[in-house]
Amino acid sequence: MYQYIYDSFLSNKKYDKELMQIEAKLIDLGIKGKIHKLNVLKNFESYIKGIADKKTGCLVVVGDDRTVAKVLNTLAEKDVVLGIIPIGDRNIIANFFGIPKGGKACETLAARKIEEIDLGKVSGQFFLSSVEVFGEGVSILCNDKYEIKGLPKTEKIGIYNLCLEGPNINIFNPQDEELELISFPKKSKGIFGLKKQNLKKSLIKIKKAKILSSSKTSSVIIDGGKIIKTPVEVSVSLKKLKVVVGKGRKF
Amino acid sequence: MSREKEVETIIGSTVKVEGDFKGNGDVVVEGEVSGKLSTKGNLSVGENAKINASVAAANAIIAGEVVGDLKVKESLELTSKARVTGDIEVKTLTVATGASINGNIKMEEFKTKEIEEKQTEEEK
Repeated sequence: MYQYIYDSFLSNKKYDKELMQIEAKLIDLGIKGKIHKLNVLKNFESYIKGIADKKTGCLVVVGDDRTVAKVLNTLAEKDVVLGIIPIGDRNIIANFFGIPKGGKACETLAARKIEEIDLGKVSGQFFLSSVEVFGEGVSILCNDKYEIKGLPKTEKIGIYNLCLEGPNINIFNPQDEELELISFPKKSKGIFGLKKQNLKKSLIKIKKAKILSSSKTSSVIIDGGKIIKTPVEVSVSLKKLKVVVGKGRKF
Repeated sequence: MSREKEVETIIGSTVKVEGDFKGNGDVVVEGEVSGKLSTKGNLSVGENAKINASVAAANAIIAGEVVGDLKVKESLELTSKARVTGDIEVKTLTVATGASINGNIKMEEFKTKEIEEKQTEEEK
């Protein structure tokens, strides 16, 4: 059984036509379901939990990356399949899962090809893509065995479950039950146009890590948005996320 | 979607690893390591890398500095800028002109026996 969650920004009239086309396509494909429209007044988490508890087979998020991020924590705890119909400006997550925009997203949904992907966990909450920490002097205890310290030329260190876009997209495997730790060097400027230092990134596969505070940094960024204070523990969650994917998925 | 090649571990030039580091695949070290470093795969140590640890690998190419004992299952290559301070245990060793070793070298027993046998045959 399908249930649809419309993000609050879709109440803007400019999306009316697109939504009508999508709803017509869902009827054609025989996968019409109950529509839940979010608004700023609703307690989001409890509302989503309520929907997910009602024996929902597939919960379809209609919106953008922010909408998916909002439901992620609740869905991860439930045995519900996530579907996405991307609308709006930023749809990198849908693109990663190979879900096209508009009517074709409905076709992908109807085809119902489901993949299980890993989720990361940071201080009790789930993340899909990354936990990043900026600045030198960062110290990360990995697998309780060794410590990785950022030297002065470190720009940032990230712990990734998957990479949603960019040239390194194939490095990451969201189904390997591991996380990838990557340190990015600062971009060096050549003096008077002379030789530039070509500093290499680090790439280390880990199961869990503890990001410790340093004098220069005291917070981490989750999935490029949410900020929390260090120290934080990062690991691969035992819970998997079931997602409806398309042919053009990037993993 | 299949992945063509298992991604190797890279310890980049802007990080320092302290503790017991174990890798399964190939490991490239361009930064600093102290403690223990071991892998079932191949190890490559870059020119600017500094390792202050006991090291174990299947094969290794060393171009930087290693302070600690080296145990290499198959072949070890020291390039011209390699500096090793510690004992080496290996099956096959290649040392380029300019490389420095301060320590004992132990090669696998049957190899030395084979060489001795060949030498005695030649002498006869």
